Amino acid sequence: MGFPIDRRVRRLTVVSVGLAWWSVVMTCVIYFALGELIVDPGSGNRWGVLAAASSALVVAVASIPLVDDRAARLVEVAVRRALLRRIYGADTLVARSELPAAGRLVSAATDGADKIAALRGGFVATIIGAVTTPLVVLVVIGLTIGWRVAGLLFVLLLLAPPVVGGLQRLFQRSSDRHRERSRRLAAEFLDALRGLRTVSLYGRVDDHAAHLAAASESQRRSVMRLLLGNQAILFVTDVVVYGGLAGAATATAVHLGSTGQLDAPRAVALVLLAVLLTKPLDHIGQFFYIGMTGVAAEKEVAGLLPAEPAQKSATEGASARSGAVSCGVIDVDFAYPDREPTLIDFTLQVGAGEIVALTGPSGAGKSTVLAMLAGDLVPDRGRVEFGGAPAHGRAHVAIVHQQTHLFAGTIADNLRLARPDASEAELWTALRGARLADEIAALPRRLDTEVGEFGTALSGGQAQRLSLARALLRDAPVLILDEATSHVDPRSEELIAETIASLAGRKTVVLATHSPRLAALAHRAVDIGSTSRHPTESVIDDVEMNRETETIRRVRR
Amino acid sequence: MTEHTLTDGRASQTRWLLSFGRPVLWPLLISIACRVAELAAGAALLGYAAHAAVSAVTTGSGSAVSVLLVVLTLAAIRGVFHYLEHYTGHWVAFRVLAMMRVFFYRRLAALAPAITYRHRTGDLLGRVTRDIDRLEVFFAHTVVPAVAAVVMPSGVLLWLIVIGYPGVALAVGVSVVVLGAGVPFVGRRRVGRNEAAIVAHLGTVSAHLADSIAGLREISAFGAAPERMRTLDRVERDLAVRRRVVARWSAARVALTRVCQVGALAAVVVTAHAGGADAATIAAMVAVMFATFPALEAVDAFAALLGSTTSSLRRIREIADGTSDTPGPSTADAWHPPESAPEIRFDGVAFAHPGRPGRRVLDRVDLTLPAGGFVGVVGPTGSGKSTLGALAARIWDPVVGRVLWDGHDLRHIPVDVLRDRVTVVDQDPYLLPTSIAANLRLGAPEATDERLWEALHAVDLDTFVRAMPDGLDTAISDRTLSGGQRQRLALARAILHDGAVIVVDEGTGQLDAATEARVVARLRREWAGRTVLWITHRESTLDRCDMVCRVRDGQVIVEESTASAC
Repeated sequence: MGFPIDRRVRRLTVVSVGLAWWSVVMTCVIYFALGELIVDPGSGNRWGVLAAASSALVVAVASIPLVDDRAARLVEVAVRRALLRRIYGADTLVARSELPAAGRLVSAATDGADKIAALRGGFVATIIGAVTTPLVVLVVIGLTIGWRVAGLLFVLLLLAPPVVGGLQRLFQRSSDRHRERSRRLAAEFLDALRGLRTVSLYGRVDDHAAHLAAASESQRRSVMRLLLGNQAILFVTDVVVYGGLAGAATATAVHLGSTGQLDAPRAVALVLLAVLLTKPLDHIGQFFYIGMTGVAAEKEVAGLLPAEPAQKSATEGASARSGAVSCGVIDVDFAYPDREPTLIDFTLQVGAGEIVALTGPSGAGKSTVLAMLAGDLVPDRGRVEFGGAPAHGRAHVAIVHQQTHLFAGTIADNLRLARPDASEAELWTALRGARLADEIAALPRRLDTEVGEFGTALSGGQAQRLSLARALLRDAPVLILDEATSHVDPRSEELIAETIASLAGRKTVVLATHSPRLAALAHRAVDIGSTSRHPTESVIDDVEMNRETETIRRVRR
Repeated sequence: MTEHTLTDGRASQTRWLLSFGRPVLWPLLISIACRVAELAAGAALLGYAAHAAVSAVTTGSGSAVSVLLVVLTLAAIRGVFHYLEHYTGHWVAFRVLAMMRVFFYRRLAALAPAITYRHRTGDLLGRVTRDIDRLEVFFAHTVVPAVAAVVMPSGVLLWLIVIGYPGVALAVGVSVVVLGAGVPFVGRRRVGRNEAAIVAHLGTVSAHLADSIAGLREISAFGAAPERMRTLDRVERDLAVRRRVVARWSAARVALTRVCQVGALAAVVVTAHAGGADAATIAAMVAVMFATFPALEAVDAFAALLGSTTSSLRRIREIADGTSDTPGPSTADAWHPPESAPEIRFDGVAFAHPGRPGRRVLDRVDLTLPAGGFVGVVGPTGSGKSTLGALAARIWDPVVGRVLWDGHDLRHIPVDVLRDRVTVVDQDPYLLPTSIAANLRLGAPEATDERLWEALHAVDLDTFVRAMPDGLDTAISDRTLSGGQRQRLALARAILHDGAVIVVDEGTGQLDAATEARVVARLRREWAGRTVLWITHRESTLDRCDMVCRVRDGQVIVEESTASAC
């Protein structure tokens, strides 16, 4: 399976199987000791053997869950880490758009990792144990009672898989149909719950409840018919495998015992050992579910991970703090995957300390140019320069987008995304720069106010100013604003405009905007419509994360 | 949780389960009886086998063939009861599952649609579905073996007393109590606490990861990935610690079980010998004791699932026992609105979501929508415009103020009448997984095919549907319809429902400009004389409105439209 297994996990599996074998051997010793004690409860050293074997058994049997847990934890961490690398490795706009749905990734990293851990960290060892421990028991029987008995039981044991397997295959189609119908019914139920909003707004819930009941009832009836035949497997297994092994062992014991070839203790032990042979069969049924879900989870995770591991190393964190530098994109081509080119042979140069406004119709490529400067897109051809030399935008640019995602946490946490080691004073300076300090100071918990999903909601304008404060905290030489004020109230826009104006000369600013107030701040305006030589009609404007449905959807304008 | 409330909770949960399980009581009892018979057959088989083996040695005689036949017969009897137990068990399982699902649907329906707008509804529903499955497993597969684990050993005790070995009966009795009521419950509370912590941690990981994915652009821009991963490392470490605790308790229980099992067998040997039994009889009793072990192991499964099953039940009941956010009026207060389109007035309305009372999504809204008017409501995401529509449709009641229909509070209109008079089109429309016709008839079950085609024509979908081989009976699947087509189908469905008030929330967002203009013009004609609330974030459709409201950060500003109504 696509997922790599640590050498340590393999070693732990071997240890687990070894412990299982040891436990079985000790169990056999216990049975023999019991046999002796049944005949002669006074034999002192047999009690000693019983006690010793029991202790050894207990130690072995108690160690197995610990060993399995260790292996499972190693696997779980490895799976989660691989998925995290996949997620954080998507560090460009295009890579993010190719990321699988968030729901799948999150579920794989939690439930999926858990199931794979159960599979690799315990199930595999259990299955290997279940298959091999009967052989260990047969060897013990061979050594203590006789190889002919062992051979007879071995042959009977070999019957079990084809009998059980054959019956299972006989009912395979009906079992599959049953599983498929159960799954469909479960899906219908979930769908009915999802559709409850609409159905209730249309006043039709009673109809649907009745439909649900009828569908469940008809499925139940058909499944019960299926099971009438399907469950016969239980009867056959009991007679052939359980009855066969126990019967053969007892008959042999009686035969050998009545002819004086076997003493009483070993006769009893033989009966008990035969039952021991059938134990694994019980457990395989129980663990089947773990196996199936684990394999399914492995398949899902393999589908989410890329074929080759990420080539590039983690992107650098710190910014190149310096005064304003010049920046530009030179002779760049760019086309989004499967689309007409957005930019062909495009050049934009911005001088140090300049404020440049990008204008042009929606979809012409403004966001593309800005993303390229910020290092969020790699041009197909051409280069991105800072201070005259090719460089990665991440270190030189701080960007404010049209909408800001606030992470779960405090305002301070969100600001510190830009600089984890910033002091409180530095946070306030940045907030003052973005003209948000007074409003934050007015909050009861100030910087420690919880924001994001479960916290206080900041207004659109406040969130944008917070984003600006974060960008200022980053203290990068270039500041980019991509339609930063289009969803913002007029007062916030005015404050943001003041902030930008105050940066003239100290930072290089590139902004894309429809707002006349912001465009007026620019030293120079560049119209994308006329300079991108092949403007296209309908272009992917931006890849927008729709938080409601947790999918990445390309927004068409 | 104090001991007192714990037992209270458990008593009430058990009562609820019992009352719920009444329809399946008889099959449940039959299943238990079969399991007991199966276990008894198994014990008889082992007892007989051990006795025969030892007798053959001590008496020097015995027929291998007749022994084989007896064992096979007992195995067959065991097989029959095994089969019956599982068959009735499945009967119970499917009945319980169906009953739970329908019950839960009905309860949820009584709380809908408000409950479906709760934050993270998808998670909630997924979790409850898993809870229902867990209850089914418990009811149908865990309870039976657990009860049999009490009945069967009692039978063994009875047998021992009857054949005259009270000493052995005592030894067996003590062992059964220890193995059945003691060991399986060792450390459960501590394990339960740790398991709850593990679930909470996984929830933290989920939320953290979902947050990271949503804000991945920001994380990349600031190179904050290593820091984000470091935050999770702390959670990982605690997770590992807690799992180890659970594993250790599991190991302890397994160890204790083995010790007690060996001890039980030894005790039987000693007491049987003291009671004067011969070797063959002692062997038989040891074998029977041995046969009770699988029965008792079922209690372990019961104990393991008890905690999670109780919390599943609690979660289901929390929702099922809830009360509606929008209760209907008493018969004295009830007012039935006439068929005509009303004037809808928002009078000093404020609204905040139940979970977040501090954040007002709408505040001090005074707004009058004229009768029969086509009113556009525009604003950015999160501004509160969708909430205006939700209040007009009485999905929620305002926290402050009233919403009036021709001067009457919406709270005085019976809910089913209101649902009939108000049509709502959602942002991301839900379509039934059946046919196009079934979807269209959702709001108008009596509509003729002719009416269906008229509605499809109004939204420009008739050509498309006519081109499909099954026409109106075409099945809907994820791939049949594009986003724009789904939206138009939802609009056609709304046309057929034909309420006096129509609320459309981002109804044409996925259509291209030309189609959108065409559809909106036709809707305008179709809905002349209805009060329409047209919610959108795009300015392009607003010129067809009689009135435009701008919503920003919970405040509503009214602008009169310059273009006159069509």
